Amino acid sequence: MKFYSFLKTKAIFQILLVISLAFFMSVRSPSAQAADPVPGCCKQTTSGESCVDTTNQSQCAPGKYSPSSCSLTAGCGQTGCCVTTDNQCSTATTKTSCDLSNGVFHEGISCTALDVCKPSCCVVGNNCNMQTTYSCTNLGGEQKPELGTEQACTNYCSSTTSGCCSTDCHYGLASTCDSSTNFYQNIQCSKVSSCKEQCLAHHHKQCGDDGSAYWYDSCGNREETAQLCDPDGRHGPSTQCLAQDTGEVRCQSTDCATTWDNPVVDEAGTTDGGDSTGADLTNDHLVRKNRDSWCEYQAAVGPTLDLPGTQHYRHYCERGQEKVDPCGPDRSRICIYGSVQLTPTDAKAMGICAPNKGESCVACNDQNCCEDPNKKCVWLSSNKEEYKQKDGKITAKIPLTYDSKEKELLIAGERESFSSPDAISKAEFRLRGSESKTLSFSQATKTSSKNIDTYLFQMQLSPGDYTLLACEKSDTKDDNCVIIAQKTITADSIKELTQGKGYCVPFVPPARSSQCTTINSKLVYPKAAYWEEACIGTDWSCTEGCDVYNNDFKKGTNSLCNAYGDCGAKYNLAGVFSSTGYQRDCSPGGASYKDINTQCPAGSGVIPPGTINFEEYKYAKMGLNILHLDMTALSEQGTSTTTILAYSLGGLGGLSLVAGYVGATIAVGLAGAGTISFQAALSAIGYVVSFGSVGGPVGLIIGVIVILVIIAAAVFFYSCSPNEYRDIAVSCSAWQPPRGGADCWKCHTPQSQGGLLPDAFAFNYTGTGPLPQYDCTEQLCGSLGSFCQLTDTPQGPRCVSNDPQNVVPPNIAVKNVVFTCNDEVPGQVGNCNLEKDGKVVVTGELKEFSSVNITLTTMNADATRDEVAACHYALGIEHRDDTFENMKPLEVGNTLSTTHSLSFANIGQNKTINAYILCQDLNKNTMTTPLPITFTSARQPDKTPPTITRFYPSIAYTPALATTFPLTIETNEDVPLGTSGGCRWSSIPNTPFNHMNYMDCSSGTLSLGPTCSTTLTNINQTQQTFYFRCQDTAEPTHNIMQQDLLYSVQKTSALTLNDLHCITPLGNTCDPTMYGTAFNLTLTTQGGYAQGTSVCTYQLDRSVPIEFFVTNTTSHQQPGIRPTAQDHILAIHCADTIGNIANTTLAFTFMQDTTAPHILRATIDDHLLRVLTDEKAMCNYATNTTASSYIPFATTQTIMHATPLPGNTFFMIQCEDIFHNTGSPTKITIL
Amino acid sequence: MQKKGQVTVFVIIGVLTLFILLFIFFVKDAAFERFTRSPNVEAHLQTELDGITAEIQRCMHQETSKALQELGQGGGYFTPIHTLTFYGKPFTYLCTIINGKTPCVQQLLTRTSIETRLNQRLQTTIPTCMKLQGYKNKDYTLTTGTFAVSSAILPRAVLVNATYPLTLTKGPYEVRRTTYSLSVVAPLGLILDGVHDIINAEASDNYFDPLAYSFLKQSTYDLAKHISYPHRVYIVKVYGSDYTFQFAVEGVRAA
Repeated sequence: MKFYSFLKTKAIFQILLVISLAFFMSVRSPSAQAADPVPGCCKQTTSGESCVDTTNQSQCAPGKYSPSSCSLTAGCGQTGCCVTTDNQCSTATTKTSCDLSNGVFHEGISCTALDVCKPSCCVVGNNCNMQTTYSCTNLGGEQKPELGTEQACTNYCSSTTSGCCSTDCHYGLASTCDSSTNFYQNIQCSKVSSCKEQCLAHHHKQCGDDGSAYWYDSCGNREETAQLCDPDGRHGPSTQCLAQDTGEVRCQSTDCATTWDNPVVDEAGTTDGGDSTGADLTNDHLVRKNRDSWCEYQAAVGPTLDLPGTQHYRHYCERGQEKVDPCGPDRSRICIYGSVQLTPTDAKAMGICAPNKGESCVACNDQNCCEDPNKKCVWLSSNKEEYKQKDGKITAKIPLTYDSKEKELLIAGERESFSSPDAISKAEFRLRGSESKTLSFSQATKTSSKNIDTYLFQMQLSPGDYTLLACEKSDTKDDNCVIIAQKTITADSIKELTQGKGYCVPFVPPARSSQCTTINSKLVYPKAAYWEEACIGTDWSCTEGCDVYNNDFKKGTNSLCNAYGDCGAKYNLAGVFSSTGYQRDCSPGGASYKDINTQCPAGSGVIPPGTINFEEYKYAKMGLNILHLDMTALSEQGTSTTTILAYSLGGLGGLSLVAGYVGATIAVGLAGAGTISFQAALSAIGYVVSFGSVGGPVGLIIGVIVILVIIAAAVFFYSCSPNEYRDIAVSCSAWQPPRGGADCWKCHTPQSQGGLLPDAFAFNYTGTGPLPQYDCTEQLCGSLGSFCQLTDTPQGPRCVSNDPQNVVPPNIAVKNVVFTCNDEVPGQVGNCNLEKDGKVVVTGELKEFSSVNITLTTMNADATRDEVAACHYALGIEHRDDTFENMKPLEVGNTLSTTHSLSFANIGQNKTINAYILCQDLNKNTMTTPLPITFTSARQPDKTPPTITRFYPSIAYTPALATTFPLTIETNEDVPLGTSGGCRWSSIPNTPFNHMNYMDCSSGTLSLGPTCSTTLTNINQTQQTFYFRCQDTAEPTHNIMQQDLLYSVQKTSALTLNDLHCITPLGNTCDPTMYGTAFNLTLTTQGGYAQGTSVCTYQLDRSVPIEFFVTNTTSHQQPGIRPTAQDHILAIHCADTIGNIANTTLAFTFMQDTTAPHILRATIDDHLLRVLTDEKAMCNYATNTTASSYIPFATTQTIMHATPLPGNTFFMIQCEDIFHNTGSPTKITIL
Repeated sequence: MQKKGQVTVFVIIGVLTLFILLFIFFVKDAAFERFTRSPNVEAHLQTELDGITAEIQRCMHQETSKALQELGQGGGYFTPIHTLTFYGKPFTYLCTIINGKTPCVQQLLTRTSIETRLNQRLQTTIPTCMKLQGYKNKDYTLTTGTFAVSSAILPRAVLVNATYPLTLTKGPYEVRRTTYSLSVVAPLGLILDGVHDIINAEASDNYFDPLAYSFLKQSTYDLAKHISYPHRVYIVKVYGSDYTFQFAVEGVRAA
């Protein structure tokens, strides 16, 4: 009884305990949550950013905090197009951001839908380009909204003649000249009589927009080509016009003379397509032309092949420099490259990072779905290709593609302009050849994608050569039609596949595992093997279809699994195999098959190491090189290289960006889309069974074939005894990295050091200059080991092992110690040695007041690799037992790093310095014993004065007008602080120390010696030298530098404005009164920092300042200033890079002459009729009163006009000035 | 006796003449200075004013250059809040993810907004930089007014205009100056146009193609694109200039 009572009591106690704990937890829970930061939104931060999620309200500007996340905050949750007051269109902005910029917000609308944001024709000089209103205004152009297409815009410039307009002596379109009589078609202004005085020919050279060098006249009009450059190397090496430092303007090579030779890629295309050993991978280093682009890969690429952690890279050459554009470590974009045919003899290497749309592939169950060009999938099947022929004819497919954006029809290498889609239907397309056919739009299959409509005509044709004609429907004669394509329809050109079992896989596996399990339902093979019980005995054995139990079956189905992403069993880039992710199941669904273990012993479901050869995945060879596709496919397909290339380029994306450049070539591809299946294309490069060269798909196909054979065989065979079909299934799941973290370091290490990054683009970053272009990525790091974790350091991303079981602290290695031994008595001389094994100890004595710089590297436990860590230090022997937390961080911000440095700028004298360093790794493992640092400065009386170790800035240039210059110096030992004269300066050499000017001195830091600052004054000479001396703090007598240390300040000459011209019809001087409708402003600058190179701006009547159209040089031009007819003030301001400025102001009255010229006098002199006008004019005369046909004076366009006296005695004379003011006819009768 | 009196008179006249000559000799410099004083004072004041002007312009140039470098490093902001750390350095997000969806939503980076921030910075730093102590406590009175600054970002330069009324007075003489202007050569305006194009592309297509842009802009920009997954980092320069503008675009991890 007692026992039961005890149990009851215990039960009650336990119930109460549970209830009380539950209550306690429920009470604690909210408080624990309350400690979490509340997410909120800064509608505007203190620094001006808008809509930033934050947990720190103090980051928000006053009154700009919202307690909910930005997506739920009014203004931040609303997105749309913002149009600012200067018509700049910004897509996908928040309302808050737009409001803060005083823009007009269009919620939920793309900027492309707004007229103000749509590009229209912008005319600048005689150039026509499509520009937005914002850009056109900035270019100083004139916008013509009525010309809404590129073609119309280009036509406008090409159809409108250019020439010199003598009204204001500018060269441009005829339409920009106010008078046709003043327009001189195709004549340079320097050759037009009324302009040639002010517009001197070949005044200077400048680089043009097209990259060539041009002559310019002194009015700023472009003249003929001075030197034709070839920016894209279409006729040889690529060259581009560049202004040299000397001021010379000329073409300069922009070729990339030698490019990186990726050891796993055959950039030169010399691979024979065979196995990896046949690939010629080390012969590249190609010369690339400017803006050539190509692809580089880290390993094999293509269906089933890409390894976990790898990505594609596009390389390109720009201005002689090889650049890298990473396509994305998640392989959301893939690199495809080839050659774009610009002209029949000129091709350009071009690669793109195209979207990887492989995710939709798994949903396709048939070949038609899979080969939809928008999907970019590959159909893997065991089916054979068959050509459907009927009565000697084949089924031909002819595509026509219409680009509604460009308003062009695209077919087989030609573009035809069609103003609207309706125009297509008004045309008739005829096929002429072995047969004559008319293509019927009503029977065409139309597919649309963005701006591209493709009409696919399908018909029975006899093989042969055909010409495609585009005709007007009303015109029945072929002679008037435009030949837009010539095609050869051969039996090989169309292939149709019989439908059967296959798999639709991504062209390139994405770097993710979300789809791995989705194909498991397709990896169940019912009745795959046939088993029989022995006629004698009870043992079961497999008799047919037993290959499904072999490794080949596993390899094949694993390849299929690999195709959908980082799935199944795969190698990583370091060549380590991980079988997790693939499992063959011989007893699917829990089936209990007798004696199954004879074929499927325990553990045989995985792929054993060594089954798959890493060599098959190591080399990318030519990768996704479309040119290579063409080389093998051409003979079979009868289709052009560019067709295949553009099919991929156009279809895979990036069309709009490259279309402007490749022009018609892209069109070829679009037109060709559909004529070549991916199946056919891939067959050509051996991705599919019939040409199989790659282990993965081969195994798959073999596996599939085997299964089908087994199924078929099973129907015909029986055994003598009990028998059964047995199922088999495969489980595909996410690939798992190998356990551990031993290879993490390879992610950020150059190949020459055993790592995975190319040496050419993965140098050690020291904190300045451009960043390396290949980085360790999160994906690559994660693929190298289950404990690998990416962390950012000042040296770049580092992949480190974060093994939770790792309790070993980092090692610290002494990389470098820089010190100076004492070399004079009475201090200790000699025996000055560095001991750096587990410590930094310098024996003997160091030179007093010298510096010591220590560089350390943190390493892993066995000191074989660098390891990121945070390091702290403490100074003084009394701090040797300080904890890591009590020490000071070595790095700013306590960042993780592999390299750590400790500098002592000034070690003083007679001092022993003890310092201690502790480092802590990512797992918070801290060194148990600090690294001791010990050294002693020379123990001798301080008899030496301080030394000035550095001037800031090291080189001094001042503007011409400046008479002062701020300067800071650094010394090697302590000097009296403040303005007590620790360091002093003078402009006179050997000035007594107590007569020199005092500097303001501050004490140094650990890594920086004491500094003294001052402002040097009275700088009046071109090169002025200043003299510096310092004293130390030695007692009782300070040591004073006996010699001056010199520092020179270069005073630049004044920046001057010269050759200021206001070019009007009446001249080129900037007169107080100028006549015309517009004028060109030109000037030159001289002097200053760089021989007059400066940036000039002008301001008319204190309006917004405008940079000159041509500036940042010595010759500045601004065409087309159009003031109103009134008084104006024009302020011109130029500045060079160091602050020299030059200003001038013009006050002028701008007038338009509205008065006709008056005839002041008419005389007859020496058989000449002479007329004097009160202004420059052109005078004509007629000899009858009707004045029907005026004849120009022989000498006119001046104020004195003369012409030989005709036989008549009566004249009508009429004069017109250059502003087209025409006077009334004046009658003159000779008596 | 009469002759003696004549000698005395002449002696007296001679002594007086000597005194007069000595007086003239001693006072001629002072008299000359008195007559020529006014133009000297004005010229002196003007020289001093030129020195002060040069100092103001030096500070305008120095502080504007420094501020432009900071703006370039901070993606158009001085102390940005929302940044990505890459190579141990902060990169400001100019296109951010809201609600976890791509493409990103852009920070509107207009010239006007940057000019405003630049003005606020210069309003503080230029007066701090100016060392005018050497011009005070001299034989003239230096009177200063309120300092105000405004900037304009142009394609290849930044124009800075300041107003700072200065008056140097000595007796009846006075020289004045109020406005100062200079431009700092930095292609910030040109770069901002490029940055705007990059962000527009990222915000609409979730992608920017640096090579296609090079074709479009005739290799005007020296662009470097890096990926710090899932974010992108851009470092933008203009060929021929060392001025650097850098920023980040926020991305989202693939599912």
